[in-house]
Formats: sequence, structure tokens, C-alpha cells
Amino acid sequence: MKMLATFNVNGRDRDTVIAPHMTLADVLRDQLRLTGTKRACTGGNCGACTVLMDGVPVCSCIQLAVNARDRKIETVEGLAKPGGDLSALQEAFARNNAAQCGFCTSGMLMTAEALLRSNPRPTREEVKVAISGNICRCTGYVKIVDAIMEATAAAQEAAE
Amino acid sequence: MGRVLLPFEFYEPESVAEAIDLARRHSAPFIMGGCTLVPSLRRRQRREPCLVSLARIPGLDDFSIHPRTGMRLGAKVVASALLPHIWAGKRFAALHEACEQLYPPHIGNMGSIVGNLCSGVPYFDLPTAAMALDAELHVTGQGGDRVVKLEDFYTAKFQTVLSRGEVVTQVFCPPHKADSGSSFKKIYRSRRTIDDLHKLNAAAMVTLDEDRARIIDARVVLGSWSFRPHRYRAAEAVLVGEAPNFDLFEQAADAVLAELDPVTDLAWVEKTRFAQCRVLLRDTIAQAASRAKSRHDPFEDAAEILEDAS
Amino acid sequence: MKTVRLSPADTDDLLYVGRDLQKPDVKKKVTGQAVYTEDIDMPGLAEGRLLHCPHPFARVKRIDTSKAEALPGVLAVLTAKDAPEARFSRSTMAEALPSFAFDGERQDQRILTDLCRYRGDCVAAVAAEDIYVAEQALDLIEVEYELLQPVFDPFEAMKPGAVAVHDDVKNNIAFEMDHPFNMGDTGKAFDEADVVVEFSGVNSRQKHLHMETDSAIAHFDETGRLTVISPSQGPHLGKKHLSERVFPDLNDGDIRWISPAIGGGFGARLALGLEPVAVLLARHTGRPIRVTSTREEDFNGYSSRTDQHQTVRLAAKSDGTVIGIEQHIVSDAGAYLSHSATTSLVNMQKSLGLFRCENVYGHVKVVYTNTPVTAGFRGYGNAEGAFVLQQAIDMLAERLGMDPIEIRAKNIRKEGEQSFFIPCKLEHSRLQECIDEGAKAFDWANKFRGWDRQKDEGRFKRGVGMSILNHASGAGGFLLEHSSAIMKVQADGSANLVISPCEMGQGILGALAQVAAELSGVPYDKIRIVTGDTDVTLFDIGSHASRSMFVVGNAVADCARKINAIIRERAVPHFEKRQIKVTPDQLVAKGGEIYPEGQPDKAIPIGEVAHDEIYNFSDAGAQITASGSYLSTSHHPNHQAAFAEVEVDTETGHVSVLRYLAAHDIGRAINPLLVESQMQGAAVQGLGFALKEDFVLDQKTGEVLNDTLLTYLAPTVMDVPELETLMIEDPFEKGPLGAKGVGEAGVVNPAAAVANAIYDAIGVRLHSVPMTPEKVLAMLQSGGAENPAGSSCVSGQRL
Ligand SMILES: Cc1cc2nc3c(=O)[nH]c(=O)nc-3n(C[C@H](O)[C@H](O)[C@H](O)COP(=O)(O)OP(=O)(O)OC[C@H]3O[C@@H](n4cnc5c(N)ncnc54)[C@H](O)[C@@H]3O)c2cc1C
Ligand code: FES
Ligand code: FES
Repeated sequence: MKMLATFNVNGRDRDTVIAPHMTLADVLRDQLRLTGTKRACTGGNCGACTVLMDGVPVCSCIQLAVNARDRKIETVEGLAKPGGDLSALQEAFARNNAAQCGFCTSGMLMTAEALLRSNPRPTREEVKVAISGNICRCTGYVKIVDAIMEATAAAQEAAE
Repeated sequence: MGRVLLPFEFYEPESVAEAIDLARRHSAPFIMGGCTLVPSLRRRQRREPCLVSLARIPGLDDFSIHPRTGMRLGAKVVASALLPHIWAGKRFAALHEACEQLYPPHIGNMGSIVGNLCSGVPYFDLPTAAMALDAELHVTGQGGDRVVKLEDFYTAKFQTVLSRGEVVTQVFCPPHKADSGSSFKKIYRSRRTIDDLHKLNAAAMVTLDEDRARIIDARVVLGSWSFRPHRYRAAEAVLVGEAPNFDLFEQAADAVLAELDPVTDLAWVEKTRFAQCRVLLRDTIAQAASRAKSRHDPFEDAAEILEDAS
Repeated sequence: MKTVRLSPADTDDLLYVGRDLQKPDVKKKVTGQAVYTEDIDMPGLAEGRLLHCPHPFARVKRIDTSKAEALPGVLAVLTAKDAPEARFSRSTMAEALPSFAFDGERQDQRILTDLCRYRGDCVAAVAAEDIYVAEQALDLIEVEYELLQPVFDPFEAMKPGAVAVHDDVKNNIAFEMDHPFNMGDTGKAFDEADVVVEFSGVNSRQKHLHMETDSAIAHFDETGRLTVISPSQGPHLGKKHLSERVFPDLNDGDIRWISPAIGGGFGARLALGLEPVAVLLARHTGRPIRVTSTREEDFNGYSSRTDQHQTVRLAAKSDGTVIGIEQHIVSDAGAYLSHSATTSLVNMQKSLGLFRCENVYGHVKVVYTNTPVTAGFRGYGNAEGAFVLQQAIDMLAERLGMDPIEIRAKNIRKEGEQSFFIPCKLEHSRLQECIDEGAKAFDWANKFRGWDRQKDEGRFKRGVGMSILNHASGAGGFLLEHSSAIMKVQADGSANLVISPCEMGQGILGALAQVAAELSGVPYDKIRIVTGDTDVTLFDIGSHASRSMFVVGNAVADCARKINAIIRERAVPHFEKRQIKVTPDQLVAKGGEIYPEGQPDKAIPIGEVAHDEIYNFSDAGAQITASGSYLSTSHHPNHQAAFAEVEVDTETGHVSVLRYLAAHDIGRAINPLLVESQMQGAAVQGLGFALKEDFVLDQKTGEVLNDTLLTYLAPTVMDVPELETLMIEDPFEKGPLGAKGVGEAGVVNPAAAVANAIYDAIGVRLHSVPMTPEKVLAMLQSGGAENPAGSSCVSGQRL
């Protein structure tokens, strides 16, 4: 049961052939070759596959692609500024060494991105709650929280 | 155990009637967010050749929450939709807390509350919380509509009274008396046998008299012990008529424990499980009672907000 | 992060070393551009998946693959009859081990089997045009099993008459030995002791939980040469092992192994994973094949820590001097041996080598059971050992009324003293300084309230505890510890640095580039790392044992110094052209420039020299290039002291770690940010080991009960306490610019320090990790009498 489907990813419409049993992660990675989104548990348990759907973080590994057709999807590939410069959040991750093996990083970034859009001045505690479903085995989380705090509006202003 | 799903047919009806018809004809289950279904299909714990999606049916994402009129949530309302809602937090705290504590939080953005209740998964949290709030489900099928109390909804592990083709359109929690409070708590543990559910959760609702001196109504629910959450009437009877206090809550917790059977044959595991369960129940009831005592929703506030809304 | 410098600051004239520079691959990782094995696409790539046995012990009576083979899109369905008869160990370490330990790597496994010894054993492999077809094909394979009586408990398995997991192994004892480095006379020491303490404990099978599950691509090109692409921690050993043991018809040179970005290792990738089966499928189909696995398969089939049941006995004089140590270990290997024997041996070496003690006896037994295979894990036995030994030391301190710090200070090995661990002298140790500085920062003097204090009143009780460790910087003198590096300077003055370590996230590529930049004169941002391809990189046994910074670092240092010398020598004519007469010795090459000592205003760019060496028609051109190597022949431990403060909820048994501080003897931190990252990550992984990560097998069915990331409780950000890290810096002359290792050490202390803190809080000792609420509560309820899940390996008794 194949179908032609259009996905709005990172602001662009992309056409591809899918089947209903494909998840959004499968389509993004295997069909659209946006491999920045990772599959680490394929069960909704770890956040590695986090993408934004209409601005909220979801686990693309358990999201059926058919149900994502008319939604706005954002992936890690869409984070950098036009022209390729890193966003403030990405810069902060790089500066703080918040990406070790990097396998959780895309999901962390997308979760943090959603948080900072809805709450540009989060407290450290709010940051922790937001990323509490994103598992990272490498960093011990400290540098990730540091990085997100450095990318908050308050920190940006202080730096300016 | 698969890495991907096996193929299935997929229908996307645009009305409830059409959905019911498709589900009956194909003997297919409904799918909303897919948070229960997709992982179980991938793990091959369930095999379904056909699914009927509720995602494109308009109207099912409506909800209204008010202390005077109760809480009404359409079938598509996801758990995180409740979080910013002031009355959900204040007057339907048990369900609000359960939604807030959904772990991982992303699931709250995808999974519907009704889907969670319909899953019949023994260790889910929302059924426990909703049962303490006396929830009822509005069911539509080919033969018409019916209302089922959540307490009567589960028949066995992963099974409910619904037959294929019956859809839950909304869940309703009635308004409760002014001096009421509810709460929800859970603890994670490690599993010891296949039937051990690795988690314990509890919810309670306590209503006080007008002087806030005595308990006039109580609901005590423990989940994750057996295939479905249960109300423990003996424990409720311990509470009703008494002045709320710590010892009383412990007695109520003990009344629940008296009805529980051990799950494993490891004595030390059972002993600790019972001890943790006792603390969980006691603290959950205590928190509900304390909320009942400290509630703050003068009628005027409520009326104002009602006006704003209309 | 705090750095305590013990030697006068000498960092002023260092341009790169000692600075928090960004590692070269970080930009790729924050943009989603890093390419992992599963991200690779190549022409003709097909997908492979495996069928695992659903029973803990079973023989395949009949297997019918015809329906699967008939499915359109299926390329091959292979079973045991198609797999080589040769047995191999998943551990590749056999190739790098001395002969006495070699037996510990029994070659006991087949790629596909018809005698399944655990639920993860593979009975069939499918290759298909895409993953969806592959999975449908798996579904169509019909297998009939004859069920055999399994054994899950190592102590049951050792009893005479127990079921044999492997026919050729008596009483399921796969490996047994007195530790080869035993010394002195413990019998006499225990007779002469004033005090004897004994403590037993066991650890759970902590999962590595690398976020990227295992996968491998194999491809034979038109000449028949094999390329393997997989997240391996040691590709050079991998190809030797694969050719030697698994496919004896292949030679070492017939294999090219590529390591793309690796989504975490922690020791798991030291073993062969899906590579052999990918090769088998590629060979049968003539296509490039990628085999992938799921998280559930990782839990049920692949590796974890080995559960080591240990008993430690200490003999001491009344002044606290330890005069005898005995350690007995019974390890449960699971169904195949893999690394479990060597991790048990190394456990002893590490934990017993910590103290100055002349009478040491260790004994190891490793047992087969019908449970998942275990393997090497960050720390390689050290964390398992510390949990028991560090509690025993505290017991001794209590018996003698000594402060835990005092008793440790009295017994730790000092520089110049002989070690139990590999007969060699300790050349560099700042362990005492770690203890002192750590204690000061933690405020131990006020936090530790003595052994006989009143416990806190009420439901929540607090306590503090500490632990110390020594760990390897590469296993010189034991493993094949050498490495080499190549550097070539391009015409623009940038350089390519060819090195072998596998970047699993630890940041080693950046740290090595910093060493290369510092010593060669080529700036950090002009060094390009070339790695991850065995056709290009030189032999190296891989990234483990905290060896890369030390061993490879020294090879890079050697190479970079040579480059620096060549640059200076070739620069002489360039200065002559400018009427400056110098000898190479009078020149400094640094930060991209060359200048006569003390005259930086006369500097010329390295690029000018490099360019003229290549684009040179008058003389014969000779690109500036060098190679360097290093052989580590001795053992140079790094050390750490850690302090924990906990609060125990005596009603639920829940333990919260409020504060955790680790002080590390680093030699020199080449990149403090990376060092701290390692220390934090390891500490949290260690706290997971200590408190949460339980690998639970159903005692009746052998099923893994928590095979998802939801039910296996890995630490989340909410579990992280206030973490403090101290770097105790005092360069070690044999390290590259003074550095020692750090990667693994941090995982060792948490369980031990937390266990000691729990004892301080509530007065009971826990005998097994993880110290879950249930166990703490059971201990409290029974006043310490009921001791869940710990067993003594002397008596075999459940404690
Ligand atoms: C990783 C993970 C973590 C989770 N953690 C928690 C947790 O901490 N606590 C907790 O309580 N839950 C938890 N859940 C469960 C989650 O909340 C539910 O899976 C989700 O809410 C179900 O809603 P859905 O819309 O996704 O349902 P679906 O998966 O689409 O459907 C679930 C079931 O309900 C049926 N169904 C759905 N809607 C209807 C309807 N309107 N009428 C009739 N039948 C219907 C479907 O046929 C199906 O059988 C977790 C789930 C995952 C994947
Ligand atoms: S891969 Fe989707 S949540 Fe883990
Ligand atoms: S950086 Fe490796 S999992 Fe987070």
C-alpha cells in the first residue's frame, strides 16, 4: 500500500513515496536522507529521534509518517542559520563539549530548541525537566545543561 | 522483535460514523497517536493487518475543563494539552499530575489521554488517576451511544469492554464538591518476574465537609498491581467520617495492603514492595486531603473565568 | 571544574595544550552531519537481519527457510549449515594478550548455530533488498526447537551433575586460575594479623547502553577484497581476529576496516558484534550488506558487564597496616566466555594493586550459564572490585577506629614501590594529593562524623563515604601496547595527522591534535585528522584501557617532534635568503611560524617552507613528513579519590546522592574541558551502576525483564547530583607533555563511595549493586540480616 506523500521539512515541501507502516524517522532517514535524526531505541523511550512537529518535540520513531504529512516538521538539519553558520544553541553545544559521541545530540538540540522558543529564559531546573526524556550515555548531562543555559535569551543578552 | 513495522492497510476516515464502519468491516483497531500501538506492533506483541486512524476526524480534539461543569476531553486530546490549564491543575489534580509525570515528556505531546485509557496496559498511569476522578467514557458504536464507567471498563490484561468498531469519543470527569482534592503518585522499581509490573502508582480523591473537619467522601485507587487499577472500598470506608490525620491515612493504606496478593515468590521482594506501596498510598491520600483543605476557588473567580470564556 | 597545579605553572609558553579547544568533529555532531554506520548509503547496499532463538537453551530440530527464500526481494537466508565451523570469541583481545591470559579468551562461538545456549543466539540470517522485506522474511522462517533444561545461576552451574552449557567443559567452569601475579604468603599474614575483615558482594550486569545499537556493513569488491564498516573500538585487532579465527581463508591484508562516527563504546565495541554475520551474508549474496540490530536485541543478545561474585579478606596490624589481601571471584560469563575471564583477572590487578601489601592471593573462576553474553566494560573489572574492596577497607577502618582517609593514606602504594599489578615499580602517583585536595574541597573533616556517632533522627538520614582507585593508562607490560602516527605537511602549511584511535565521543582526536600542534609547530586549526581506515592508519590495538592519550599521545609526540625538527632544518635556507644566519637548533617553530629564538619579529610562515619543499624544481622536492611510534613497556596508573554524600529515605529505601566529588591524578590535562567531560560522564555512568541499573533476568525463564530504555533505568538528567571535579596536575615525565589516562577511571569509585556513604547514613552495608530502594529497604527492615542477592564466592551462599 504505497502512496505519494508530501512532507514539509525545515520549511521545504518534499515529495516521496511512503507506505503507512513507515515511521517518520524511517522516512526522514531512509527516504529523504536526513540522517541527522537518530534511532536509538525505536520505542519512544530515549529522545534520540526527536523532531519538532508543529513546533513541539515528538519521537519520530513511533510517529507514523502518514500522520505527519500535513504538519510542519523540523529536524536538526534545519537548525543552522541560512548560510550555514551555527545557531546560538549549536554554538553553545560545541563550546561546552555537550556532544561527545553525538548520537543523542540531534534529539537534545531539538528538545532544547522547542524549550527555548516557548520559554526563552528557562531556569536550570526547567531545562532539566525539558530534557529529562532524552537519554545521553556519554556526557553525564552537565555540559548539556550548561550549553542550553548559555543559549538562553538571558545569557545571550548578558553576553552582548 | 522487529526493527521496523510489518505492512498493514491504513484507513483515514473523516467522520466517526465512517470510522466505525471501516473498523467493523476490517475488524481493525483504531489508531490515534500510536504510542501504544506502534511499539507493540514493532515488537510483534500485536499483529494487525489493518488500522483505522482517528487523526483526520474533526472535532475530537475539543476539551473543556471547569470546576462547575467537570472535565470533558475529546478522543484526540493529548496529555500535554492539560498541562497549562489552570482548572485541570487545581481541580483535577490527579490526572494533571499523571499527565505531567508522563515519562518521557515527549510522549505527552503525541499520545492521547483516551488512547492511554483504551490501551488496557496494566502499568499506565492515566487510568489510575482518572479512576480516582470517577471518570466515564462516552462510547459510540454501530448500535448507538453508551456511557461506561472507567471502573467497569477493563476486562483483562490489554482488554476492555469495547468491541471492534466501538470508539470512545470522549472521557468525562464529573465536577466534585468544593472542598475536594485529588492527587497521583508513582514509583519505579525493578521487575522480578514477568508479571511484576515494575512500577506502582496510586491516586486518591478526598472530600471534606463544609467545616473541612471530616472526610465525607474518598476514593483510593492503586494501579500497577494487577491487570487494571482498583478502587479499595475498605480503605475508603476507613477514611469516611473521620478527621484527616496521618495515622488515619496509614490505616487506610493498611486496609489496601490487606487485600493484596503477593506477585513473586521472593519473600524479601514482596516485603519491600508492600512497604513501598504503603508509603505510596499513605502519601497520596495525605496529599489529596491536604489539597482538599487548602483549595482556593471562590465562586467569584470561577464565575469570572466562565464569563471570559464565553 | 577546578585544577590544582602541584608543580609551578609551566603552561604559559604552551599555545594549545592545557586549553579548552573545540574538538575537530564537534561541528559535525551539532549539525547532524556526522556519519554513523546506519547513515551510510552505497550502491547496491542490501539489508540484513537476524533470527534469534526465543529459548534459553534449545537445539534446532528442524528449520525451514523455503517460504522466506520465496519472498520477492530476499537475497539469502542462511542457517548454521552455511556458517563456518570455526569457533571464535567475540573478544578480539586474544590477539593482543600474553600467553598466560590467552586461555581466558576461549574460542567458543559460531556465527549461526543449531545449538542455542541463550536467547540471543542466532539461528538464521536474512539479506534482502530492504529492511521491510528482510523483516517479513524473518517472520516466514519456521523453526522447531527441542527444549533443553537451562541453568541460570553460576553456583548451581558449578555443582556436579549440573547441565552442561558447553559439552566439553566440566562443571561449566570455563576458566579457573590462581592469579599469575600472586605473591608472598597470605596464610602466614592472616595468622599474624591483629584484625581480619571479610566482605562479599556482587554486581549486576550493567549494560553499556551505547546509544547507537550495533550494526555492520560488509562488502567484497571486484577483486574479492573485503571492506568492513562498523563502529569498532579496535579495527586493527578486529581484522586480525576476523581473518585468523572466523574466516581462516582470509588474510589480515584482505580486510579493510572502516570506523565511521561511533555512537558510544564503553568497551562493548572491543568485541566483534555483527561484523562476522555481515561478512557471511555479503559473501553469499555478492552484495554489500548492512546488518542492524534493535535495542531489544542489544539487551537480550549483546554485551554487558560480567557479574562478578567476590569475597575480599583483609589481614591487618592494629595500626591499620594491611599485611595480607585475598580476593576470590566467581564470574558468570553467560553463554560464551568473551571478555569475562580477563575482566575478572584485571579486576584483581587493579583493585589489589592499589595497596602496598606483600602478601596477595587472588583466585578466579568463570562459569558458563544460559544467560546473555557479557563483555569488557569501561573500567574492565575495576568498578566491580572497588565496590567490595573499598567497603572492606572501611570495615577495617571502623574496627580500628580510624578515619577512612587515614587508613587509605597508610596503605596506598607510593612512588618507587613495587606493584602487585604487573611486576613493576610505581613511577608516578599523586593519589595522596587527590585524597587531600578532594577531602579539603568536600569538607570531609566536618562531614565525616566518626564511626560511633548517633545516626540522624527521622525518615531521611544522611551520610558520607569515599573511595580511591588506580587505573591503567594503557596496559603496558601486559597488552601489545604500541602505536604509531604519521604526519605530513601540505603546501599551505596545514598538516594531515594520521592516527588510529577510534573516536567514540571521548574527544581523543582533538586532544591528539593539540599535542601534535604544540610539538610540531603547525597550528591546531590547521591540523586535519585522518583516521578510521585500516588501509591508512598504522597498527594499534584500539581505544580502550585509557590508553589512547598515553600510548598514542606519545607516538604523536614523537612524530610531531620529528616534524618540528625537519621544519627547522629546512627553514635554514629561507633565513639565509633573508641574510639571517642560523642553525636549526637556533630556530623555533611554533604556532605556524618559524623564527630565530628570541626574535619572533623575524618570523616566516611554516607554509612558505612547506610549499617550497614540494613545489621545488631546483632541488628534488621532498614533502615534510614523518612517522613516530611508541611502545609502552610498563604500567603507569592514573588515580582518583572520590567523595559522596547521600540521603537515604528510610521508608522507601530510596538513596539520593546529594553531592559527588572526584579528584583525578591526571598528570597533565591536555584539554581540561575534555578531561572534565570524561570525568562527569563516567561519574554519572558509575552512579547508574551504583543505584539504578539492574539487569533483571527472570529466574525461571531466563528472560531479560527490562529490555527497553524505559524499564532498564539508566540515569537521566534528573539523577545527576551536584558534581564536582578536581584535576590534580603534575606532569608525568613519560606521558606526552606529561599526560596520563582518564577515560575509564571515573566509573570506578561511585558505587564504592556511595555504598560507604549509605553505611555511614543507616549503618547497614549493601552487598550488591545496584543498591536499589528494594535492597536498601530489605536491609533496613531486617537490620542488615536479610541481604538480598549478594553471594559469597567462597561458600557459594546467598548472603
Ligand atoms: C515511551 C513511552 C512512555 C510512556 N510512558 C507513560 C507513562 O509514564 N505513563 C502512562 O500512563 N503512560 C505512558 N505511556 C503510554 C502513552 O501515554 C499511551 O501510549 C498513549 O497516551 C496512548 O495514546 P495514543 O493516542 O498514542 O493511542 P494509540 O496507540 O493510537 O492507541 C492505543 C490503543 O487504544 C485504542 N484507541 C485509541 N483511541 C481510541 C478511541 N478513541 N476509541 C477506542 N479505542 C481507541 C487503540 O485501538 C489502541 O488499542 C508511554 C508510552 C510510551 C511509548
Ligand atoms: S529512537 Fe525514538 S525515542 Fe529512542
Ligand atoms: S553524547 Fe553520546 S549519547 Fe549523548
